[in-house]
Amino acid sequence: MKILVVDDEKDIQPLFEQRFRREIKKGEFKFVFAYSGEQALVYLEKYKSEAVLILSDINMPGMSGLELLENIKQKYHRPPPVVMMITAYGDDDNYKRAMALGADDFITKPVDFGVLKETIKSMYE
Amino acid sequence: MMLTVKGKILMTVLTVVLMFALFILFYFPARQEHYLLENYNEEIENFAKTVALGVEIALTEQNYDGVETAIDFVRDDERLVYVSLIQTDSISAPDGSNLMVEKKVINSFPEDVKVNPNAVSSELFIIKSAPFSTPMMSGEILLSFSTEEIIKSKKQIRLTSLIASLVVFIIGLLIGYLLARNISKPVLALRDAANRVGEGDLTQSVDNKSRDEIGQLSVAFNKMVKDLGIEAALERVRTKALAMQHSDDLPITIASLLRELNHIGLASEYSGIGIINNKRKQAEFWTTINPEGGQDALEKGKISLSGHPFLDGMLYSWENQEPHTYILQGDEYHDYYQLFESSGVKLSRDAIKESSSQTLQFCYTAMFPAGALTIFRSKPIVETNSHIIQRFADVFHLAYTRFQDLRNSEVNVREEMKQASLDRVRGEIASMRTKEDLSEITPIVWKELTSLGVPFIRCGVFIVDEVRKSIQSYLSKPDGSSLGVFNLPYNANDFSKMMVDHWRKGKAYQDHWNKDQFLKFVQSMIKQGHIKDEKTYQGAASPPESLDLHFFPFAQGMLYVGNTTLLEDDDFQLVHSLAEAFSIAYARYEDFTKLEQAKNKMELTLRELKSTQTQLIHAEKMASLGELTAGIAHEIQNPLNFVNNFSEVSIDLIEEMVEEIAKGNDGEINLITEDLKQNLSKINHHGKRASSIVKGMLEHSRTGKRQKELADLNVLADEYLRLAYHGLRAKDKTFNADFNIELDKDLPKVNVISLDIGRVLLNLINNAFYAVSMRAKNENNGYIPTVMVRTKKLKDQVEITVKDNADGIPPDVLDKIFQPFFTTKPTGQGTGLGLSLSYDIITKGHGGVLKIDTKVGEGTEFIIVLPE
Repeated sequence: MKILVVDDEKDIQPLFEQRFRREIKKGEFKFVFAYSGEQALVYLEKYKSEAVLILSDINMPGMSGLELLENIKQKYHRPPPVVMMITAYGDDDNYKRAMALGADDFITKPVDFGVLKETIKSMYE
Repeated sequence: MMLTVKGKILMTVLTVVLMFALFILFYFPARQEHYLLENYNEEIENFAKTVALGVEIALTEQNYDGVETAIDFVRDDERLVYVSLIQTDSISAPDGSNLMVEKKVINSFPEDVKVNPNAVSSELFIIKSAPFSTPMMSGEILLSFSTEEIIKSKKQIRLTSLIASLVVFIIGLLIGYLLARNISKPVLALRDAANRVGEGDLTQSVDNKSRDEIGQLSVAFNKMVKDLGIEAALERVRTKALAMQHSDDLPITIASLLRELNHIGLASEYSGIGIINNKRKQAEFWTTINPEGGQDALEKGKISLSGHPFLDGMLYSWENQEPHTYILQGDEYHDYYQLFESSGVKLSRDAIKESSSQTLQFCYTAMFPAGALTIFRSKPIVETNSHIIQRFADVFHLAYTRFQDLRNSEVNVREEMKQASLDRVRGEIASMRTKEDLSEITPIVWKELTSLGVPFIRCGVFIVDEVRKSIQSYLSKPDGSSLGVFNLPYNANDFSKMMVDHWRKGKAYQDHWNKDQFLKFVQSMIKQGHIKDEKTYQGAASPPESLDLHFFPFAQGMLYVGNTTLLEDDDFQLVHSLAEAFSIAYARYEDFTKLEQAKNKMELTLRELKSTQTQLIHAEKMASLGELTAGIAHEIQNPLNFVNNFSEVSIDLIEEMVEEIAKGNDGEINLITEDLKQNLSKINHHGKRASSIVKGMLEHSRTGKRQKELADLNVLADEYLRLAYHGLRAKDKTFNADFNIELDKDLPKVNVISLDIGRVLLNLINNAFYAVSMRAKNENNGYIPTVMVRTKKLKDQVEITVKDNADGIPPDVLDKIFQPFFTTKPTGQGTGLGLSLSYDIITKGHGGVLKIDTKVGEGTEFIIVLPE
C-alpha cells in the first residue's frame, strides 16, 4: 500500500520511516513524501492512483492541506483516494471544512502512531 | 590823517579857492604891473620919438624954437624928470680902428638937472632915448620919467587884488562849505543808515529828493534796504517755520508771517492764510487784524469758497496756481463780510469796517499748493511789490510742508503711543487674576488716558453684571488712585438706569453736570448706602464746577471719562479704542478662570492621552505578541512532536535492538544503531529549535533596556517569517499564503537590538500577509498570495526587503502610512502603531532607512536598510 505523506516539515520522513519500520520492512506500507501541496499534486499527476492513502498536513506554506484535499477530491474520482488530514490545530472549523471537502479522517497532532497504524490497517482489511 | 567826505570836499574847494585867491593876489597884480610898466615905457618911448622927430624937424629947418616946441611936448608932463638933447659924435679911436661914440648933452630941461647921457632906467626912473639925425647934427633925445605914478598904481593894484582875493576866498569858502555840506549830508545819512542796516535795523530809509547820483544812490539804497527787509522778514518766517517742533506750532509761524507782512507794509489792513479743501470747496483759515498780537490775536475759521465772486475767482486761480487780484467794493464788499461772519471767526465786522474806512478793498492772493495767502489793502499795491506776496506764500508753503510732515509723524507717534497704550491696557488687564487685581483697573485707565493725551479729570469703569442686575463701579479719585469698587443696582437711580439702557444699546452716553448736580448725585449715593461719605466719592469733597461725563460702551460695561469740557472727536475716538481694548482684555480676565479650568482639564486629558499612548504602544506590542503566540505554539508544538516521536521511536528501536542482539543479528543492530544516532540528533535539533523559539518569545516580551548586539539578520528574518506565518495561520484558519525567503549567505552580522528589528520584521511580514490574504479573498482566478523576504549585503549596509504581491498602496494612504494610529485595518484589528513604531525603530533606533516601493495592483516592497 502506497501512502503519500504531505508535510512541510522534512523530518516527517525519517519519523514515518521509523514509526512504520516494521510495516515498511514487511512491505505492507510504502511511503512517499511531498513537502508541499503543490509537490503532492505533481506526484499524484505523475503516478496516477499509485497512492491509495494520502496523509496531509493542513498548515503548509503555499497550498494548504485543505486546498490539496479539495483538489484531490475533485480530480481523482476513481478510485477515490483516501485522504486523511493531520493538523496541529484540531479545531472545529478545520475539522468541519476538512469533512465537507471529503476528508476520510482527521487526525490531531501529536499523532498517536499506534492508532494511525490501526486506522490505516483497518482501512485496507 | 583821515578826512571825512565833508572835509575832503571842503579841502578841495578851499585849495581851489586858495589857488584862485593867490592868483588874484600875486599873479594878477604882477601882470598888471608888468603891463603898466610896459605901457609906460612905450608911452615914454613914443614921447621920446615924438620929441626926437620934432627936434629933427626943427634942426633941419634950423628953427631952434622948434626944438623948444618939441621939448614942450613933454615939458608940462608932471611925471617928467628931465628931457635932454644929446649930441652924438662918432670919433675915431686913437688906434684908428674903431669909431667911438661920444655923447654930449646939448640942452636939458630943467636946465639944472645933471644928465648922464648914458643913464639907463632904474626903479625910480624910466629913461628912454630916441635918436635923430640932421645934416647939422645927430643926436638923441633922452627922456627920464618918474615911476612914482606907476608905483602908486602898483600899490593900488595890490590893494585891489588883496581885496578881490579875500572876497573870492570868502565866497569860495562859503560855496565850498555849502557844497561839502550838500554832498556829505546825504552821503553821511546813507552811511549812517547803512551802518544801522548793518546792525540789523532794516527800517532805514534815506530821504533824498535830489535827482543827482547821490539821490539815485539813495533810491537804490532804499530799495536795497527794503529788499533786505523783505528777505529778512521772509527769513524770519522761514526760521519760525523751521523751528516748528510740533504741528501745534503752525499758528506761531502764521502769526509771524502776518506780522512780517504788516511790517513791510504790504498788508495795510489785515491778511490771512487759508488751507484749501478743493473737494468741499472750503478753506480753513487763520487771520488777524492785529498782526502784532501774535499767536493770541490769530483767529481760526472755516469759510466756504463758493457763492462769492471773490472767493470763486480765488478758488479758480488756486486750481491753476496763479496769483489772484480782486477789488472788493459796493455790494460785493458787504456780501463778502456777511459771508465772512459765518466763518466762525470772531474778527468782528465792525473791526474790519473800522480798519477800512471805505467800502473798498484791494485783495491780493498768492497761491501755494495747499492753499492761499491773501492780503487786504485800502490802496492798490505797487506793481513791483506784487511778487513779494508770492514769496511769502512760497515760504509758507515750506512751513506748511513742514507742518504736514510734523503732523504726519505726530499721527504716527500718536498712533504708536495709542497702540502701546492699548497694548498696555490689554496686557495689564489680561494679566489680572484675582478680584483684588481689579482694583488696579482705574489707575491703569487713568495712566493710559494720560499717556493718550486725552483731557480728563475723572475716570472709571463700570462693569455691568446682568446676572446680579448690578453695576460694579470702579472709579478714580481726583489724584488717579483707585476709589475701590462699589455695586450699583440697575435701578439705583436715573443715572444707573440710563447707563444700563445705553450699555444695552451699545451707545455712548454723555451728560453734563454742574457742581450742584454732582453733589446731589453724591448725596443720593450716600443715602442709598453705596458710598460712605463724600470723601469716598470722586473727590466730592471738592466737587468740580463743571463736569462733562462721557460713557463709552464695551462688551462688559462702560468706560467713564469726566472732563471739564466735552471731548473732541479725536479724543472721543481714542477713548473708544481704549474701551475696546479694555473690553478684550477684560473678557480675557473673565475667561481666565474658565481658561485655567480648561487648561487643567487639557493637561489632565494630555496626561491621559500620554498614558493611553503608552498603553497603546504596549497594546501594539502585546498584539504582536498575541499574533506570535499562536505561531509560537505551533512552532514549539512541531519540534516537541518530533522530540516526542523520535524519542518514542527510539525506545521502540532499542527494544528491537535488544531483540536483535539476542538474535545476534549484527547487520540489523548496526542499522538500528544508525537510526538511533539519527534520531538522537533529530531530538537534539528539534529540542534546540523549541528552545530557541522560547528564547525568542521571552525576548519579545521582555521590557526594559535592551542592548545592541551583533545579530544574524538571516536567522532573524527566517525566524520571524515563520513566526508570522504560523501566527496568522493559527489565528485565521482560512488564511493561507505562499512565502519564500532569499537569504544572502554573505550577509554580515550587524549591531542591532534583535528584538526591535524582529518586531519590525514581524510587523512588515504580518502586514504583507494581511495584504495578500485580503487580495486573495477578493480574487480567485490564479492569484497566488506570496510574501517574499530577502536579505542582501550592500556596500557598508545590509538590506532586508519584505515584498508582497498584494494590491499596493494608493498614494493617499502612502502619505499617512507612517503616522501613528493610522491603519487601513477594520476597527479593532490594528492599533495603527505598527509602521509608526517600525519607522522609529529603524530610523531613530538604528540610523537606518525604511523605504516603500509600491505599485497599485502589483504589490508593495518594504525595504529596510541598516548600516553595517
